[in-house]
Amino acid sequence: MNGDLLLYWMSRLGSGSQNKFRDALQELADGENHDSLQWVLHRKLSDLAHVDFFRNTKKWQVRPPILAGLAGQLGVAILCGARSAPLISSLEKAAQEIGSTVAVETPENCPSRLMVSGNAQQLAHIESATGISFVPEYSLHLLANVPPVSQKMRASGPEKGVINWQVNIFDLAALRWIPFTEKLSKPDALPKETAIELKSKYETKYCVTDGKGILRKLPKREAIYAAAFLCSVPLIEYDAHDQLISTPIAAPLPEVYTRIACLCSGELPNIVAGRLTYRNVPPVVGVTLSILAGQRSQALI
Amino acid sequence: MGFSLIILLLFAVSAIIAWALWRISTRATPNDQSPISEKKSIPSEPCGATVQTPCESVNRSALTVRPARKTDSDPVVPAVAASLDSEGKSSDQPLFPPTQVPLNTSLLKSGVEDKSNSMPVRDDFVQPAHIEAAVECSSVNTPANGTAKFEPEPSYAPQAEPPCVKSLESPRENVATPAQPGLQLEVNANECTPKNKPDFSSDHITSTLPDSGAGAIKLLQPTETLPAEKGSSIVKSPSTVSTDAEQQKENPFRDETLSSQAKSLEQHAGRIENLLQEAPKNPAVTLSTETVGEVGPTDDIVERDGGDTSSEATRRKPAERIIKLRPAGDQIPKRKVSPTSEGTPRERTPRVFEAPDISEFENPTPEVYNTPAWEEYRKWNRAICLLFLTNVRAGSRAMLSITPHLLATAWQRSEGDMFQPDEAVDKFARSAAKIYEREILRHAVKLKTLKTAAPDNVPLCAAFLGLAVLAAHEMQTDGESSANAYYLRLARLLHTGAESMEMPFNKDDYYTLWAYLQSWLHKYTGISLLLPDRNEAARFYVDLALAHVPLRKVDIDRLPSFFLFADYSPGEKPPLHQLDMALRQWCEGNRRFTKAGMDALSDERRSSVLSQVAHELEAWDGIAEDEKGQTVANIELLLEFPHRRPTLTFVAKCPNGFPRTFEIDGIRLQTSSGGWYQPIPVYASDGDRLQQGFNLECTSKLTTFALRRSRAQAIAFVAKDSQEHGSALTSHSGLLLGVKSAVMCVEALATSAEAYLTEACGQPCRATRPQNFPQGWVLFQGVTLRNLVAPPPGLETLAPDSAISIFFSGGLKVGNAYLEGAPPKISVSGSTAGLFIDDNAVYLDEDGFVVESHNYLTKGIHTVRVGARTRDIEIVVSDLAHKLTVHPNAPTSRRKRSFSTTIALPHGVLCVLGTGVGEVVYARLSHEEGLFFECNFQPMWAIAHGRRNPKVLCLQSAYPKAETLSYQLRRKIGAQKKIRRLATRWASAIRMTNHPRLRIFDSAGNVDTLLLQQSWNTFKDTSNRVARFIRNL
Repeated sequence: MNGDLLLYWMSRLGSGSQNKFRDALQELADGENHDSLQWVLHRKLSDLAHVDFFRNTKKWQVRPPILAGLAGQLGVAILCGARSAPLISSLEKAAQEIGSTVAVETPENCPSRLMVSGNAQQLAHIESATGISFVPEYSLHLLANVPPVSQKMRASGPEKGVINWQVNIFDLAALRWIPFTEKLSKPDALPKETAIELKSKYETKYCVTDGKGILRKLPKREAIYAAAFLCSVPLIEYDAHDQLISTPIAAPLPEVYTRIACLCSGELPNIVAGRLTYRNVPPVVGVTLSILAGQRSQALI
Repeated sequence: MGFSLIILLLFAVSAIIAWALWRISTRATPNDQSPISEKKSIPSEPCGATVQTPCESVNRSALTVRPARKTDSDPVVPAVAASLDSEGKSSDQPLFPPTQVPLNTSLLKSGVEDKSNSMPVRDDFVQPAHIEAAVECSSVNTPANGTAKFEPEPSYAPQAEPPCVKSLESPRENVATPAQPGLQLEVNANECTPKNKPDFSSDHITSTLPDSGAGAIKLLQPTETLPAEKGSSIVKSPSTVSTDAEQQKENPFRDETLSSQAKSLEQHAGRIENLLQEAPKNPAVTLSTETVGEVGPTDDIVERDGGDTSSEATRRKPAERIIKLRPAGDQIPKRKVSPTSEGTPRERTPRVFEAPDISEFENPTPEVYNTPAWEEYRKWNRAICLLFLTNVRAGSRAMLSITPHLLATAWQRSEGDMFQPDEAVDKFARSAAKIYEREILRHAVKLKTLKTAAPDNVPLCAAFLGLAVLAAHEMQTDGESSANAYYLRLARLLHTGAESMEMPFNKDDYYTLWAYLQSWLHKYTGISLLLPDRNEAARFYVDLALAHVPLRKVDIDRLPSFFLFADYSPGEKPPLHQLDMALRQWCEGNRRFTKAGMDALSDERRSSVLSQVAHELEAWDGIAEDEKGQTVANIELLLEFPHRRPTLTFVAKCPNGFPRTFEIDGIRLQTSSGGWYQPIPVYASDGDRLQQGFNLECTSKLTTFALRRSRAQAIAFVAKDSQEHGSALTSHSGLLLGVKSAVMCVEALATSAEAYLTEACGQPCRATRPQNFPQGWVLFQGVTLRNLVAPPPGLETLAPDSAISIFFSGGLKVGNAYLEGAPPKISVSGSTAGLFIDDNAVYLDEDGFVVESHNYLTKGIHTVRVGARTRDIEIVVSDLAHKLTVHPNAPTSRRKRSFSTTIALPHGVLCVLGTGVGEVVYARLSHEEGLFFECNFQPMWAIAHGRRNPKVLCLQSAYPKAETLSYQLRRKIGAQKKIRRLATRWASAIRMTNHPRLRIFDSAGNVDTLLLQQSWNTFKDTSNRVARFIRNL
């Protein structure tokens, strides 16, 4: 599938519905598994800060083009957000003028990765010549507005109307979803401090039960980390020496955290030893992400 | 002398006896013997009036007297219809005795005709006829305005028959009563309704009077006089020249039970003839003539003349009753006559029109048709021809029944873009007006410029005439103009700026265009076009357009309710007889349309109405208001093939006014963009619902909304031009010729569907039962119709659509264009001969798509052409959306440059330092899991204070160096209190770590390395200098 064409199209529209996105995938990836491809592209476009996907409104919105300085690789910036063929041409031209380099990688089912190398002055010149904003250590910039999982959980009101829904719970030990009941008769019967998956014929939603058994609606990933926070179960491992942060495959970092971790290296996570591993994550980012996710990190102390 | 006296006496006695005998012989029957004679005298002022008679069942209070038209050349003539007694019999006595006024003054009131008391009109389609014999009576004293009203007289009211019938009803047979020349009795078919009148097999009755007498004829319907035998005439309405069988066919609502009433009305006809035969015998009664004028289709007023002198005489002798009846036969003027100055009628000879010149206009400069204005006009012309003229069922009559909604549909089908109806009208009118102003008016032959089919092989005048029809469609009373102001509306559409009430162009040329269009269609397509016969009536040229819109806007707005009633789905094309039947059921017992609409439905325009309704149904979007007052939108079906497995979903559009969130018993539908609600999966258990149809009523809003799926036994799926659903197949009202489609039908029809599709596709089509497909339904995939085959009964929804259409499916669409590199697949239905992209001949593959179309679809606008059909496609290069646009060389704002972040560190950390003097921050929040620091600088060090084991932690992988205390910094610290305070804090935080047990860590876990210590020492030095500097200030 041509990921560049997809991002060009999205950049031209600016925003749209999930249905449109799905149709575009069908158009570009004829004969492929569209469901899995849609999931993969959601993740990739979101993690590399190209597009924001909104669950509630089922819409997507392309982020403004930006040269995101990598927190884990000083002097390197990656092109995030919207793009077009003329914009890329101007970027390459400006980089060539100032003597910096533009590396282009084209992963499968993903837009090309454009990495610009240069010192702060060179990148500032490129910014001026192309109009693309340059933000050094973009991960730190993104951290400014990220609330902790525990705070989101407390801010979420009690969730009601779950009678007769199918219930699955997340087993933090086995790190998988296990069925709890086919039809929930009493909300009180739900286990406490657990991530809950509620399914009906038309909708699936995720919650976490607090210490009093009150259901609080959260996104799927946040629900797992909220439960892990309540149960004091470590899910994130941060290796300050190698600057690696890893999570179980079944419990990936919440989307925003994932984006921050990815923009430290400009790469998507790899699966290493059964865990999603993010490279070149500096300690201040790694520790902050761990604490934001409710993990009691003592990596630095 | 005595003898002389005797003779004189005898003479006097004989004279008295003779006078007495004469008086006896001429006196009317005593008043108490006739209900009429009981009536009081009426006012003496003469006035022309006709009395309209209801049928037997009509309420007598509804009787009205209507005035004859009063014009300068047509003085008012008092007229009263012939009367019958309460049993329907004519009185034995003369109608109006000289000394007795036949109408009670209480019955004949002056004043304007009271509509509320006029004959009640029932809105069925039965066409009763209405004889109205107008007998002019100079002694009838009615007001000057000529309006009088009958009211029932209690003394003779109880009978079923009207007490003083002034007009008669007659069976609807085209009867010419033989051997009674001189009297014409005609039937008005417009004003009677089946509820209060019987059905007739003819619109009028023609009878005659003896030549010695005279008759008065009331004509309430457009008629033409046909030559008849000498001494008589036959007045015929165009609608009545038909046999009974034809009339029965034309009028399916005719009720046979009305035949008995028809017979009774025949008796009425006979009675009035007898009545009028008696009239000449009475010396008090004289007969005068009446001239029937030429009236338009909607006129119902008889123009009279010839009664002016008698009128004057009547004024001088108010007590004298004179019945004036027009002599029939050759002496009857066939056309409107106007009095000369001497008072004698002057007959106008009918104008003979030359045959219109329908030859093709050959433009010496055909390249002019390629100008932008012509190109735009030609697009509209092609769109209109496609929908209204060439898309006509076999045996049907073509009609240019253009309405705003149909206009938008025509454009959408032709060009692919969807306009709002008002927007379509505006664009269309602008285009036609531009051509009219720039090309037609400036050309020597004016309108004849359009008399050609050269550019696109379709008549170029179709759009222009469509504009004329559109003006007729908009004829309804509004705040600015009356309902009849046709030319004013036409002028507005043409943007001529004139407020004239005259036709803005040459009438002959205008008619010639219609004739040319009719001729062209007949010659090249075999389709007939509705075109009224030409006459010299003033409104004939209005009627040319009006004939194509029998239903006006106000009636068309009511059609969606009918479609719901008949359970039609949008775009359905039911057979006309089914449509007719459904319309009949819908209208039965209810007034569904306006009077004009009901009239159109019940006269010879019925077939035109059905064509118009069929067009509206074809263009209907499924939105209507049902009987409960709910606003209903249609549910479509989507057929997709994820994992190569057919999957059905319900999808519904969110029309304007519908809620964005639609809750239905546990289902919550949402739409983000306002286009379509999210799809609802179709389960295996939904088979019955699909077959029976269903309604989903919104429960979340006070105002009721519902989504509806009509019942179906077979559903066709085609790839539509849809931005929302990409290349998914969408349910459609028929199968497109040459386009890859799919079909699902109930199992009971699987065999016939298989046979039909196999024959239509020219290859075997097999039914499949996919997993999780609705129970009781089968699916035919990969259906590509090649042959035009009529579907068997039950599978009408799979009828092939042979219209030539160009479809774009798939592709990445941006607005109305497509992204370069992702063009749509192009398919063509109807015909594939002569398929081009720009000037490149292209071909279709097995699936019906253009082979390698992307080679031709580069940046720019391209034209796909097949035969006369063209469709433009625009390809654009990638670009950023407006809100994402970047601005090279723009100055970067200071705010944009500012840096801030929030970092979290474990408990125990006191503060975070940056490299700059004054860059220090303490914890903002303390959660269970850690501390949060809000930094507007790059965090470099974290200081963890322990009284016994103080720690300094380097947060960066590269060891930083502290800012030096420069001159500028000193000045800042000295001048600005805030900076001095921050500098003091920064220095204090560093100096507090002066502890023998201080340990310096980095992120890699290294402790007290030389590099670390060197880095930290730079901070210590700077902090000492800052402290010293501040102390010395």
